[in-house]
Formats: sequence, structure tokens, C-alpha cells
Amino acid sequence: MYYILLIVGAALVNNFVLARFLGICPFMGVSKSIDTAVGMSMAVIFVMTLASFVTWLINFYLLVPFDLQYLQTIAFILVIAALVQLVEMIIQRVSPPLYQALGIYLPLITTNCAVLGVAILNIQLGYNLLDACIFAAGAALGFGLALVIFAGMREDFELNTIPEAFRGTPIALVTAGILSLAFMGFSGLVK
Amino acid sequence: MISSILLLGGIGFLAALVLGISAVTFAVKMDPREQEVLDQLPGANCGACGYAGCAAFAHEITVNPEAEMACPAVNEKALEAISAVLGRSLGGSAPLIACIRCKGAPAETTNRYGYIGPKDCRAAQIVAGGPKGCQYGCLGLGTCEEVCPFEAIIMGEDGLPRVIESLCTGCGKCVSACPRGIIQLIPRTGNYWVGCVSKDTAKEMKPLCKVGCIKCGICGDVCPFDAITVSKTASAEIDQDKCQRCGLCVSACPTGVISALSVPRKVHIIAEKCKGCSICEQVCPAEAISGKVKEPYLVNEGKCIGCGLCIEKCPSDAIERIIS
Amino acid sequence: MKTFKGGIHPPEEKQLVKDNPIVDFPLSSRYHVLVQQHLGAPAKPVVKAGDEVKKGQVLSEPLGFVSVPVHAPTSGRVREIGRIVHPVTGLLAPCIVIDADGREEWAHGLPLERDPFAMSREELMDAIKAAGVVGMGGATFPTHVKLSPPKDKTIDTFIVNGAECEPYLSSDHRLMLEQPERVLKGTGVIMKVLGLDRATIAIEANKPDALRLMREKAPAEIRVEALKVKYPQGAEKQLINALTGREVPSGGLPMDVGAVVQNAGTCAAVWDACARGIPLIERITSVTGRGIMQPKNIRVRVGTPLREVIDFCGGLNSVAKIIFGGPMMGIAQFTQDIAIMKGTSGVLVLREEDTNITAYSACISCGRCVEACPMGLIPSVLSKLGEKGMHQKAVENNLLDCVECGSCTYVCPANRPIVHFVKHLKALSRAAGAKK
Repeated sequence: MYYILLIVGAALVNNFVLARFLGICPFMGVSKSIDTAVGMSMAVIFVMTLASFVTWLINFYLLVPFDLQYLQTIAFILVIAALVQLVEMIIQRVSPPLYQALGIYLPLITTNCAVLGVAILNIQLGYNLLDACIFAAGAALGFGLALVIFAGMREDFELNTIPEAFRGTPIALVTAGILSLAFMGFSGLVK
Repeated sequence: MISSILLLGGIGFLAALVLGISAVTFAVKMDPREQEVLDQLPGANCGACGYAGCAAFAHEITVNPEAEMACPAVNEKALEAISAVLGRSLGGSAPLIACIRCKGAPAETTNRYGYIGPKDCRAAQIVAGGPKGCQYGCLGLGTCEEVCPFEAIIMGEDGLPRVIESLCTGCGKCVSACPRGIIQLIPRTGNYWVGCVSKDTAKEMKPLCKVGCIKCGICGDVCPFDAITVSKTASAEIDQDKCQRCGLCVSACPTGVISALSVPRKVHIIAEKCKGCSICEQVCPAEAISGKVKEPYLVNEGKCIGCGLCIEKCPSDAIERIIS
Repeated sequence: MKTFKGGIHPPEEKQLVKDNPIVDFPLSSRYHVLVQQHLGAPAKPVVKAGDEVKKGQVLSEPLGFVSVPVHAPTSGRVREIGRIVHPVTGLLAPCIVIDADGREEWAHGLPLERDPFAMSREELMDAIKAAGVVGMGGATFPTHVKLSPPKDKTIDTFIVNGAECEPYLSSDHRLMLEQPERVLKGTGVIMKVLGLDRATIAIEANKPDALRLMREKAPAEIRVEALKVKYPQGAEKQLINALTGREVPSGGLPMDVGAVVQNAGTCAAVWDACARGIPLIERITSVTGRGIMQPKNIRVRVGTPLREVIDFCGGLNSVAKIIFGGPMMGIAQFTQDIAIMKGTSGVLVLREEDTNITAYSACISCGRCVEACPMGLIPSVLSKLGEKGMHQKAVENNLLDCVECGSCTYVCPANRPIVHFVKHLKALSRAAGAKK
């Protein structure tokens, strides 16, 4: 039960994109089509969960014992960068079209504040290893959910007659804001 | 201090190890030349090459040593660069340019009915064959402008499309988009085309259009190279392979329906170089050159039509275009 | 009362002609018989200028299976093989121009006296094809083709379409009221061709007199069923769904669910073809609308010039549109120099106040079209894809299942010409398919 609440909390109530406003870059950049959105979500879920696992271990078995917490950010980024590189290689091998479609946004997962955010939040919120991984998984699921929902909306309103001044990014940002408002409906769902 | 260096160094080393092993396990064989070729292509994904976009064509031409250069939109420089990258010489196809074979602007033509609907020539065509009185002429709703990936066609103030020569790559998207088939691709080395494709007789055309081809046949008669065919139920057609760009048809045409890419510049003979061999006088289709053998010849500017045949044939390189 | 999902209720406007008995249209002096009056492969003229022809004589030969001949509507002389604007495409099409000699002499042997119920199935099919019978509801699909489904499709249901759901039109209504025997006997012949022992005649509830009369006259094996008044009840897939509950699968045909549907007028034409060898040279047409001075239901021959029809009906009032067919699926004409065809169920003359000629605006995603669509599609998305020419995505959104009934266009508050967008996308899709 506790774990379900943890996931619901991370995915819906405090959705990383729509409530915490982290990871906006891939959210705007990869949401033009549902297929790429799904592909990106998979990549992020993999990176987030694994990164959380490894960074938690590094923090509590290397940084804390040697009193090197100030190296947290650098060490985490190092790990995340390596993981993203790994994911990139895997995707390039497994699905070249997806690799082409994601383009520059794949390596940009490295600087995605959502991934680093989850890693650091795990420490700040004092989760143990299992909690940390489940929290990260929930966060990633929430990220994916927001991304796919937004991609679905964008695919649809791309067909509409939008005033010149709003075409492209402006209307996307406005819609993202309204989607964010919608997700506020989840607040209070989990105490 | 030492511990921090050791720690970060250690993590870095581990990461490098993992990545190094994965790089080998997950290696993807991709020819690096492909990206270089892709960089030289225009990137408009127009599809004229027959492939699904520039990336697909770059892949094909890199991996397949027999593949021909099929992109009509590469310029000379890009062609050279691609040839250098791939290590084989690639001949480009003769560059083509689109020409609009209709002069029937709304001011010169009649309509059969009032059209209300999407502003798309293809959509208008399916409504009782289009609102224009002439079944063959330009509908003027701008679909060609819409589909051009290089923004090389714009709808003019008179309601007819206009091709911007410097931007047109001859990809042919406009040709397939036009429901009336009035856009034709001609070689850039060509210069003249007939601005009408109507199959109506002159009598049938009269109430519909003031500027179409009346099929009088004069152009076919005056052409010294037999390059024009015209009949009572087919507008004049210029065979671009036979056409020598003399321009006589343009001057002979009573309705002015034959159009030119560029107005030819007249020529003048450089007296110092002229040996008086008289070859220019013989080849001139407009009888604009005269003179006495062994003396410098003279061009009558009034008669000169700028076809340039004399420049081609002069053995002494003594004729040049006048820079106005 | 049985019905289908979706649909609309436009004003019926049938009171203009529904109580007008059928009037015989007088013989014209010249007929323009279009060579292509059917869906399918073209036909080839087999007469030339100067030829003498008799009434019912073959004028063109079908090329291929999905093709039918056309016949001379009266005796006379072929003036020329000319061209006339085709009411469906708006382009000039070949037609055989006949100057009538006034003698009305039938071609050799016609009319025959046969008992179709003694003829074999093959003989009946030959008679139907030779008579040039096509779907008279307006689609003009060759009837003999519809009655020959492939061997692997078992047919167990035959439905006669007496719904006539289009507003303004009453030609089928009057046919059923005044010549019920032709319709019923024709139904019997088709039952024999299909090998069935029962059939259903579907009539919308706004024709109580026709319902009563048909029920009275129909033999036991032909059931007459009343259907709720809703457009487009007369569309085949909706008829099948309302009567049997079966749904024709996406991209499929009625034969895929074991059904065959024929218009009531087609059944009457089939009877004439089989019992008397008479080819399809005339039909019942409703000339109606407030733009014509005297609306009438006329028995008119194929090839009759429209101008004469208009004169016969008192001339034009004020006119904004002349439509061949009904207001929902009919085709607007830009000239009066056209002629009646086999599929012309109505000539509708509308004044400006009867039409809605408004420029369209952007889709507001109100969803009215989704409610109205009888095929369960999302017309708003199709219209937006149509604006962008995205035919591949449209096909993925079941573009090809649209029957172009016009319900969506009727309800759209933004006046969007949705059916036009659909036709545009279908044309783009065909062109792209042809290129491959």
C-alpha cells in the first residue's frame, strides 16, 4: 500500500513535469508525435530508475563514509551521463528510426533536470534503496504519462487553424500550462 | 582532496569500462560517409529522387556503388563534394526548371460558376471539373505555391503562379500537384515554352480565354529546326531537344503566348578579331549580319534576336553579347 | 420502429410533389444519350452519324463485366456522336445525339412477352445486363454485377429500398403508389436470381399510403417493413443495419454480411427487362424545389434535355442552384445544357433562400458531426486533414468508409464543406495509389 501511494504520489500528485516543472526540455521537444513520445518515455524510465539505484548506492557507500557529500552533484551527473550514453548505444542498435527521431534529445536526457532531480530528491527525502527505486520508477512513469498525453494533444491540435502568432511553440506552452492546471486536480489525493 | 580525486576518478574509470564494453557489444555499423553525404543534400525531403527523404537517399547512394545521383536539387558544389566523399564521380542530371504553361489570368478568362470551398486547386477540380470556363487552364488557387518545398513558386498579383528561377530545383512536386497539368519541367538550357495547353479549337476557346494559343500554326512554320508541333486541337508544343533557342517563334506568334525564361541579349562583332569569314552571316536566322568577305562584318541591332548561334559558330571568337 | 445509430432530421419538403401523380413527359425532338451512365468500365458507341435507330436499340456496347449498354429512347436518326457536359463530372463526355422521327417504332421483336419465372438464372442475368439496368437510386451501379456476388459470399437477405430518405424527392414514393405490381414482380424476379424465398421492402414511416398499399398487394413471401424517418435511412449499410442488426465491416460490402439491397425503381426496371425485354430508357423523376414554378413527378426518357423538362414544369422561379438528385447527395449543375440520365432521381431547383451559401470557418470541435455520422467516423478530423491534404492519415482514420451522405456537413455550425474535404482526400489518395 505504501509503495502504491509512493508511485501515485510521484506519478500524479507531484508529477515531475506538470507539478515540479522539471524536464520541460524533452517534454516540449519530443512531444510532436505519440510514437517518439513513447520511445522517449521508455528511455527516461530506464535511465531514471537505474540512475537512482546507482546514485543512491554511491551516496551512501562512497560519499557519506568518506565525507564527500559536496561531490554529490558531480558524481551523480557522471553516472547519469554514462547511463545515457549506454541507452543511446542500445537504442541506436535496437531501433535506428527511433534513434533518428529522438535526435539531439537523447543525449539531452543527461542534462534533464528531472533525472538529476529524482536522484537528489531520493537523498533529501531520506528514502532507503527500495523506496528510492520505486519512487524513481513512479516519477519516470509520471513523466512518461505527461509526455504521451501531451503528444496526443499536440498531434490533434496541429490540425487546427491556429492564429499565426500562436503557431508552434506558443500554443504548445499554453496547452502545457492548462494540462498542468488539470493535474492540480490530483492534489490532496495522497496525504 | 585525494579521496575526492580517487572517488571521481574511480567512478569515471568504471563508467568508461562499462561504456567501452557496451560500445563493442552494441556496435552499429554505419558508414560515416553517409552523414557527410547527407550534409551536402538540400534537406528538403521533397522526394523527387524517389526515396523517402534525404536521409534515405544518402544511405542508398553511400552503400550502393551502382546508385545514380537522383537528386535534382543539388548544385555543382554539392555534387563535387559528394563525389569526393564517395570516391566516384557522380554526374548530375541536366538541371530542370518548372514553367507555367498558362497565361489565362482571371482578368483574361471567364468562369462557369461561383466556387465556394477550400482554396485548393485539386479540391476545386473535383467540383464539376473546376470553376474556370477553360477546362485546361490555371485555376489560380495556389496549390503549386503551397506544395513547393523550396518556396520557388509564388502566386502573382494577376492570379497566375510565377516561378522564381533562382530557387527552382526542378524537383517536380508542383507538376504532380497541379490537377490541370499545366506545369512542365524544361531543361534550364532551354529558354522557350508555350503558355497554353488547351485542346479547344480557336472557336471554342474564344469565349473562354483572350490569351490562349489560337493554333494558327505560324510558329511551326517559321521554326527553322522543326521543333514545334501544333494542330487544330492541340496547342503548340516545343520539342526542347530540337529547339535551338533562336526565338523566331516568339516574334512570329500573333498572340504572344510563347514565353521565355530570359530575354536574349543582342550581339555585336568585335571588329579587331573579325576575319570576315562570313560564317555568322550564313547561320543568322534573322538575316541581321552583313558585310564583305575579308572585312569585319556588322550586326544590325534592330534585326538581331539574340539567339547566339553566331557566337557558337564564329571560329575567331569575335562575337559577344552586348551588356546593356 | 427500427432505425440505425446517428443520422439527422432535415426538413422533408416532400409536400411539394408527393401527392402529384406521375405525368408522362411528351416526346422530345432531340435526345442526348450519354454513353457513360453507370459506375464502372466505359461503353463503346456502336452507331455512327446518319444511322437509323429504333426505340430500344443498342447504342453502345459494354466493355468488360462491370459495364452496361445504353439504348435509344425513341426511334429516329443518329445526328452525331457529340459531347455534352456530364452531370456527374462536369466535364464534356461523349453522347449520342438522336433526332426523333416521331414514329416511336420499337426495335425488332420488342416488346417481348415472357415469363421470367420460367427463365433460368443465366437468362435473367443476361436480360438484365442487356437492358442496361443500373441502380436507379442514383448510384448507377450495374445491377447484374450486384446480383452476381462471388461464390464464397452466401446471400440470405434481399432488401428493396423504398426508403427514399432524401428531402424533396418522391419518385420512388409515386412509383410504389401507382405501379406497385412492377415493383413487387421485379422483387420476385430478383429473389429468384438470388435463390431466396423471402425479401423485405423497407419504406420510411413518412409514406403511410405507400406502406398500406404495398402491404395489401405484397405476396406472403415479401415483408413490408416501416422504418423510422431519419436521413440517411436509405443508404444501404444503414438499411441493412436497421432491418437485420448486422453491420457491414469497415471496407466491406453488403454481400460480406449476406445482404443485397436494390432500389424500388431498379426492381421495376428489372421486371420490364426480364418480362418484356424493355431496356432502361425511361424513369420517374421528381422535378421539385421552390425554384421551379410547377413541381411534378414525370416519367421521362433518358437523354431528354433539361431545358425542356424545366419548361414543361412551368419554368424557373428565382434560382440559385439546380441539382441532379437530392439536396444531400445530389450534384449541383452549372449549365442547363445537360440531359436526364438513368440515375437522375430528381431535378431540384433551389432559390437562394433555400440554400446555405456561406464561407466556412475553422472547426470548433463541437462534436455535432460525430453524433450525426451514420458510419461512426469523426468527420471533424477528416475535414482538418482535408485542409492539409494529409490523405494517408485520413485513410488511417477510416476515410474510405465514408459514404458521403452529407449529414456532417448539414449539422456543422462552422459551415465546413466536410464531404468536399472527404472527396478531395479520396482523390489525393487515389492519385498517390496510382503513382505507385
